[in-house]
Amino acid sequence: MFRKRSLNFLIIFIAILAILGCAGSFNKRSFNALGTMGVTYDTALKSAADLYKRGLISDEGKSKIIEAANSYRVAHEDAVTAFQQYLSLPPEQQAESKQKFITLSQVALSAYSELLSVLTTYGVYGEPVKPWF
Amino acid sequence: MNPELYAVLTITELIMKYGVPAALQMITMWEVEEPTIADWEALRLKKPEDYFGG
Repeated sequence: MFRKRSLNFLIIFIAILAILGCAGSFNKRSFNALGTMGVTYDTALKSAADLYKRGLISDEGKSKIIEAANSYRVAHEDAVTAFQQYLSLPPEQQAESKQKFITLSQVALSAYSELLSVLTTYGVYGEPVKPWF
Repeated sequence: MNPELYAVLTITELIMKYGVPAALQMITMWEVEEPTIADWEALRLKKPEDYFGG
């Protein structure tokens, strides 16, 4: 009885989190979006590396994937750094830094779409992310 | 849609797409209410070369 209640509570709790996945503050929405792209990057590159080790992706394919992944990684890291700077400032000084973060997020989102399109060529699929800013 | 069914479908989809570890990673991420600078630091990525063994 108690286990069933706990399970129901857990399921409802996770459902609410899933439904609110794209809601919340600017901080939370940005965190979820970049986090989702980060998890996709990690999972997709693990799959690509596995396919490469099994000979299903050529050296040329590996180079293309690494190039696209590096472009995304640099943009992602820049966006993360920009958001950390934004968070470290008092609210009255955040406007400029928020704008910088949005600009860098657009670059990251574009590099992410490019990475997904390169990965798709090699049979590795990722989660598309819509603009959240 | 019934929230319980929605949760089950969402979790199943995540597991099928990404496997259990990545699905758990995403769910853990959603649980962070208001991310701090330290939470953001955890979003940093490994270099792609590291996945292919250098």
